[in-house]
Amino acid sequence: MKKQTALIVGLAAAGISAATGLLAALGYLPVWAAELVAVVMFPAFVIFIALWWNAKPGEEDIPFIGY
Amino acid sequence: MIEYLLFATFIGLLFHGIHRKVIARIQGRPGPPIWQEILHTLKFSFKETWIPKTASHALFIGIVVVAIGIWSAALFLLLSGGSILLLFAVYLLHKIVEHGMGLSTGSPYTKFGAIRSVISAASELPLLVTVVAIYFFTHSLSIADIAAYQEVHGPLLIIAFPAAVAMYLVILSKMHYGPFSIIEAKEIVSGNMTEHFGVWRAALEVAYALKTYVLLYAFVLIFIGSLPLALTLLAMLIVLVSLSFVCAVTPMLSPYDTVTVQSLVTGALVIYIIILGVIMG
Repeated sequence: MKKQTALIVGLAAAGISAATGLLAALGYLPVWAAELVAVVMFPAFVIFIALWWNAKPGEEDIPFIGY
Repeated sequence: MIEYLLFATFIGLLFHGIHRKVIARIQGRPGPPIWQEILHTLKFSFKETWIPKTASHALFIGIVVVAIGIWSAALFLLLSGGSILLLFAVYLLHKIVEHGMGLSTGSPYTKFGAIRSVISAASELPLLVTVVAIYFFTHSLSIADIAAYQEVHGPLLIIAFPAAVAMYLVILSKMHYGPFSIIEAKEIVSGNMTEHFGVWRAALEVAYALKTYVLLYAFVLIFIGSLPLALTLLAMLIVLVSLSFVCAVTPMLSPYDTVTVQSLVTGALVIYIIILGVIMG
């Protein structure tokens, strides 16, 4: 996976979670559905944002698999 | 929704820092600053990250995702006043996470941690006893109903004190540096977490911060009642400091002593439940 991909996935996860939270607050979506989306998206947000800022700026794949 | 999770993560990490500080001060050491665990998590997220060649890749990464996911779900469960049985289910899933994390890497140290996680399954029994004891009084397992019961009859901490002790023991068994923390004992390096480093460890720290927040919040909700946020946080802090005190003055038990103590406490609580059953019909 490339650095840019990790950033896109992390931000997309946060964006989707925030959007469903907003829709639930406005009454367009049941609260439980927004909570379910947050439960799925939050781990993706945490891991992909950390992978993004952890990655070096080169072209190498992250995370390195070996040793 | 994500803002609740970020808030709980931040407070959970701060609580971990306070936990370390309190332990250090009781033991006569200056200790780290209380925000150390926040820095610690950030530090891990910048460290080199890889997956060991001997690891099951899907399980190695998947277990981290599941760890954050189940405690996120548990937080929403508490916020929505859901069933205490579902909280119990999340707690059991955490046992699978501990075990799976240890088995996913291929390292002998993590496998020892995983095995210790399984033999300390007795730590789940007091929670089951807590659930039964609470039902005797409230006739409901909904957290919202339990909170409503306490508004009328007073805190369950007083009414069902042995059940509160059981839940307290459950939280103690999941605290870092505690007498029951055998799965992450130093003689097996970091136990089941040994091979999860870099981003994976940072994500696990997030999951454990959520876990600490959820367990302390659950204790306050179930045994004291629904309070304003500031008072809830204060009550959680008081419970945490008391746990830190126990951790500071109690050496880590051997795996077999851990199981023995937890089984004895569960046995005592089963007797309490039987007496409750006889008295309350």
